[in-house]
Amino acid sequence: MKIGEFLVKKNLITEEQLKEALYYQEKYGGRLGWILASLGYINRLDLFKALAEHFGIEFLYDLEQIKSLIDKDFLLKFNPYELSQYEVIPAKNIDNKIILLTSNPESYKLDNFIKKYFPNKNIEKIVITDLDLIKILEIYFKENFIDRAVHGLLYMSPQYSASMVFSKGQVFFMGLFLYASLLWIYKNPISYFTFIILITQLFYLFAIGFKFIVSLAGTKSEIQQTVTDDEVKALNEENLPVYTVLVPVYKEPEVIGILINSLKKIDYPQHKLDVILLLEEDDIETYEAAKAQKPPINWRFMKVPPSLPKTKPKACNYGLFFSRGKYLTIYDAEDMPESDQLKKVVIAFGKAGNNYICFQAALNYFNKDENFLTKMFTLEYSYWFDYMLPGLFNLKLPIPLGGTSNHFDVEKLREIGAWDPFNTTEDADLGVRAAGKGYKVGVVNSTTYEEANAKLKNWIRQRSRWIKGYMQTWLVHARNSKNLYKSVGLRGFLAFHLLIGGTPFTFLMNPIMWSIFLFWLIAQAKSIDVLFPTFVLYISLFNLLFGNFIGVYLNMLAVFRRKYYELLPYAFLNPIYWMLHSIASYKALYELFTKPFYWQKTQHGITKFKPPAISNA
Amino acid sequence: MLRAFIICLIFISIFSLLFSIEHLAYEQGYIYKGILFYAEKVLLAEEGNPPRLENIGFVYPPLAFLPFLFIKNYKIVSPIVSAFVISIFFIYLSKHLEKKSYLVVGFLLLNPLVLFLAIYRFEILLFYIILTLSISMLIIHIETGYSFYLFIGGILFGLTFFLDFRSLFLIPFITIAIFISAKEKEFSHQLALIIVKLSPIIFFALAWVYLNWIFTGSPLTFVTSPYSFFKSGPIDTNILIAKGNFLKSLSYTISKLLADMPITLPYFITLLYMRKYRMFYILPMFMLYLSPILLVFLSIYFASFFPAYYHAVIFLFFAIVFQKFLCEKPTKMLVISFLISLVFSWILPLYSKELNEKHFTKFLISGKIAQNIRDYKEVANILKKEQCKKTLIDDASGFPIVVFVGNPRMFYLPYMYEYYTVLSYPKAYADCIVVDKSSDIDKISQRFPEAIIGHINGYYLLYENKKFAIFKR
Repeated sequence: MKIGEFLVKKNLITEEQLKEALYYQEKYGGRLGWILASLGYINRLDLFKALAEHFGIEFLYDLEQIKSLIDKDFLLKFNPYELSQYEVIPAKNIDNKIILLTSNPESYKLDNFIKKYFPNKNIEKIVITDLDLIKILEIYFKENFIDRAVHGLLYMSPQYSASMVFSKGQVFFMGLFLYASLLWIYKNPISYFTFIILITQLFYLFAIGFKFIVSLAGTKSEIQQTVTDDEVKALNEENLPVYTVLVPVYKEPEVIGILINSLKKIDYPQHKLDVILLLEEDDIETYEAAKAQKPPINWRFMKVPPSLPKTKPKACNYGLFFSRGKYLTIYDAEDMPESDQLKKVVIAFGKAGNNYICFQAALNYFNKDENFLTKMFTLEYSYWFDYMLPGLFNLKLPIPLGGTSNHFDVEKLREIGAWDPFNTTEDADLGVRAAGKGYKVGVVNSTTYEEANAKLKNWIRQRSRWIKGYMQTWLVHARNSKNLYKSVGLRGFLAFHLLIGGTPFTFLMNPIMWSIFLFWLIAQAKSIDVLFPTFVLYISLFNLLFGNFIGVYLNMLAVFRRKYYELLPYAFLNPIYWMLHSIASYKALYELFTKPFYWQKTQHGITKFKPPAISNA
Repeated sequence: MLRAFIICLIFISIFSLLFSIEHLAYEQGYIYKGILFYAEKVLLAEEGNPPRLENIGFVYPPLAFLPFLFIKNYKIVSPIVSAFVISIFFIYLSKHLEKKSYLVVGFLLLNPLVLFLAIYRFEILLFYIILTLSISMLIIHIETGYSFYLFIGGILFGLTFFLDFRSLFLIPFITIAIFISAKEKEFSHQLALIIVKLSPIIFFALAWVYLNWIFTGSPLTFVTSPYSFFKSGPIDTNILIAKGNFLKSLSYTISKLLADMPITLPYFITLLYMRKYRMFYILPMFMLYLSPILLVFLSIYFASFFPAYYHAVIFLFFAIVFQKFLCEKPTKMLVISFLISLVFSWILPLYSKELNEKHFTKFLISGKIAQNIRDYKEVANILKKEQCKKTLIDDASGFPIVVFVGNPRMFYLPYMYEYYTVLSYPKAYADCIVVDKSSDIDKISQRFPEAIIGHINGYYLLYENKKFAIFKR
């Protein structure tokens, strides 16, 4: 008897439900039981119990009973990551008989595991639920998992870890710079400050040119889309791979409902979605809120054990151990991706070739009209994701990934050491590291709508974390300059410094330069003239007039493209917004020295705006 | 790779052609003096006393000066820039016209008016091409919705201000055209499109006002100065009559258009094709296609126009680019119109009031051209030979001398702080004085009226030709 008929016979599902599930199975492939459970027609416990009964295998669901079966010394001989992938727990070896606990008793993966480790042994299989399997692994390998989540990259490639904020060379260089500066100021302060202004202005000049060229290349993405709608329609859905969605949350019970609803609307077979909600152990309220939503079987809640640093990348690394997907993406709890985003990514990976590790989708905001801050944030994101990143992509330059909606090839992600938990913009770091290791990052033409930060203090906290992360990323890769140069070439190397190093530098220098300008404008003080010899003056004027204009104009274009016409005039207010960046930058600089790994938490779910229904763009 | 090679080849061929013609004319003692004017201002900005940006005057559109900063040989500046611009134009056309783009570029290079602009008035050629591309990109954006074209078109339109201040005249017109063009779309879209399209030019104009203010003390120097771009060109009586009078300007515009029609015939034939394309009076393409006419009309209205024939070149560019959009095979009538235009481009300039284009066209036909720089060169040679250390001169007309001498620090010029002190009592400062006898704005002949008859106190007359007199202490 087939499993479907068996379930009907046991009155666990109806004939209609079976027919529907069979239809899905024919269309998308996959296991029938899992499809039924993903559709919510059968609960997890009943499914696994019925599976065990159908295959004539014992089923256990009491955790203590399961634990009593396990020989700890025997289990600890195995690699927990491998066990997680094979969905098996080797519990005991009794007189050449191996007891295996599994949530997938008839899978080819399990057969492979048995062939690999116990080719000539008697095997006794016992079915447990997939959640119990993870719980058992967490119980016995907790320290290992946490250690790997925190120090995985450090063990694999210590030179790429931000756990060391400054290298000895960098400290030496800073010391030397300070000493030379003091000496120079003592000898000739005017020439010193003129030199600093000249360097700053030259940097601005290059940054403006870079931004202009990249944006120009980015505008072409509108004409040459990565994935067309026709390609999505023509996609063979039967072979769609399992897709893991990691959702790191902390104290965000109010947005769980939004997340579940938007993921339910996503145009991807639900049973091929592997959704992992990553919770901190002390976050009871979010856990309860998530449970109350009664999500289907393809949703798993994982409590990340407490340890330092308490960061999102650490939680993601933890979730990565248990991910089942070929591809993986990260969404924040309030995210609303366009419904065909995952399909577009699958197509993009298929078209792009084997050296692509990630595709970044665009981010934008559903509460753009809430206040000044959300408007400016939308202007910024529209430019960044619609012009800047596609421009970097078109010019084959390293792409600093955005916070969410970055879609990874899981195998390659594991290979390069996943996220750096010590870096507070782990995503930007990962994009650069991937480029450094010879992988490419692409951009996919799909948007995820998020909640823009609507409160100033919250915004400053978030932005200071990002800028601190950029500083960390720059410090990490600057000390590996030789490798980076070899991997990405001169253009990529310069782009890295201009973008990653340049962003905080620009924000730090802006208030100083603006202050000088405003002072000169108001006081008309001739004393300042000595700091601006002819050449410096010309560059400064060009930067002041055209640099600022280019920044404003590109923002205007970006919101125009998004048809956010009402935001156009706000582009002219960018200088005010940039000042806020500068405030956040100084906070970031301070924290880089005082608490480099501290994760300034952004509070979500504070918008008064209800998220709109999202369709495909 | 092959494409890059072809483009390089085109660039080199065009440059060679332009430079050869210019060189032949130069050998006979002719160069368009505007080239020397730009060269002198850049020389002053770089090597003046003190060297500073404001020495360029801030009264002319600045992009014309820019190439002289990078290319020190003034003779090759215009051919290089023009060859580059025409090559870019070729690339743009070749995407749609493919092999026909070779014919188009060939046609343009056979036109003496285009050659004149390319060899001597690169800033005007650049202005015409950029304006044409900017307008065409606006249309492509309206048709396709791609922001790329709006981005490039907007920036290009902004840049036209730095080539020719008269592009400001088109702002109201483009505003109206966009409103009409997007009438089926919502008001906010129309408004947004106008803001995005016009922001660069408005911002660049404001930036120029700011630069005028900080460098010259007056934000509107480029408008009010007696040397302003708007006032410095030759003046035609008819234009003065039409100035500020709508009807007279319109009447003069129509007569000018009719007079130029043999050359601008392809423009009007293309206009007829637009009718065929069901755009007559309806769509923005038609409206925007009228930009050159409007530019001529407003230039006449504001008396910033001289009836030269080279203005016809912008009409030809519009005809070529818009023909590209129509995507129709050129009909016999259009081909004939281009041929007629070509023939008349060789005839009408021979009767032009603009002497430079007239002489240049004659030169292309006969191989002979009247010299116009010999007097300046002679003065420059004498100043060098006599080893004048400090020469008092007014470069309002004597700027070629400064260029030919090549060392602006040898001169007391009006941009210098001490100029009027020297002018009041030159004996204490200058060992030589150059007076332009034929100019009524020469500051030295105004200060020393007897200089025209060969006398300045404390100096003796060293040399004299029809135009200049050199005095030595």
